[in-house]
Amino acid sequence: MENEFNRLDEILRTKTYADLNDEDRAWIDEVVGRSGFEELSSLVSSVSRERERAVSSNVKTDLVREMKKKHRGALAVWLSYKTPMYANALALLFIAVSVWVFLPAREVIVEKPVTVRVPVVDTVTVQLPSDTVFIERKIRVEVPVYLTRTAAPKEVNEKEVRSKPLAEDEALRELLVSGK
Amino acid sequence: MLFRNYRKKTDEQLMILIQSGDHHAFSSLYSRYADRLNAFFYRMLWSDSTMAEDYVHDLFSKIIERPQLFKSGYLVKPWLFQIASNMCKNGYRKKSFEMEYLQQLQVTGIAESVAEQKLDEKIITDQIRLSLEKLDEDRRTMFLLRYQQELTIEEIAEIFQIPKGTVKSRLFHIKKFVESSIKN
Repeated sequence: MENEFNRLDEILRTKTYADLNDEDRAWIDEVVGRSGFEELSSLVSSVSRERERAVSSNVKTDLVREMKKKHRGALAVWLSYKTPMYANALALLFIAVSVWVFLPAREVIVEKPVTVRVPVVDTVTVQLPSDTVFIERKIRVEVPVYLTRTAAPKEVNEKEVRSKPLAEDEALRELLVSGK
Repeated sequence: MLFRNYRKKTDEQLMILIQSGDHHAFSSLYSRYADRLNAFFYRMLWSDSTMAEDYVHDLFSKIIERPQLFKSGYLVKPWLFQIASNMCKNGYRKKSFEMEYLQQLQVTGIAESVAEQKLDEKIITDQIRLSLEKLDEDRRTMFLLRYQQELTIEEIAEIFQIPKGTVKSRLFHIKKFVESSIKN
């Protein structure tokens, strides 16, 4: 039975009665007869030509709208139905202002190089008996100062850092000049 | 969501997206099957185009309402045509009630309206419809699924939940209906 169906199915979908070879024609005549086959074949070819039939576009529009409506999020539903639009706008404004006011200010650290006068350090090396004197002097140093919004850097008091010049130290001068 | 390529997705993947509320996936599945289902309903339901469109609408509404009815691991195409076949069965039942009611009206002397008579005449001229009406309900469904929608025997067996051999046997016996109609 299954083999017979497979054979009839294949012939119905691919051939007309005129296309049949002698063997198939004899088999068809025996199984269903010429007129039966032609009616079946005509029906198969007619329905296979109308595999699709256009649906009017408003059906799709309705269904997609239905789908969107069913799966709309809770927020969207609330925004659409529960409150008027001006209330939503006010709520959003209130939230924005609250965030702006209550959010803690971030501390911004910036690096600002400043020049600071530092105490002059004189190193005196006396080599006896020779009278050779080496003097090393550093007079400028760049110091990074980190500033925050809340703490401004203090001004450097020049008077505090200024020391007495070497020439004014009379005792030292006496030592160097006299060579004692 | 915007960059998903729905065309490349299988029907089953689309159904899973529909279950999660993706209306683009729904739209894509609709485009694949609406016209085919409409053609199927049209031939199953007395070549009535309005009724066929209503049934397409109802079928997809069912999918929207209860997408979870589709179980993963199954194929979408046989599932859709199984729903369509069941809807047609309900349609036939409803029609038989209506026919009984009409017969009762005729017995009581209430005549058919002229519009209904014209509609019937128009429908009767459809040769395919006449040929299909020679088949019983199940064979008509199987015939259309096989030769109109070109479903495989395996898919038809899945729709009717019967063995493949039974499907082939029922389809093969369509020839008997043809023989008897020719004799008549």
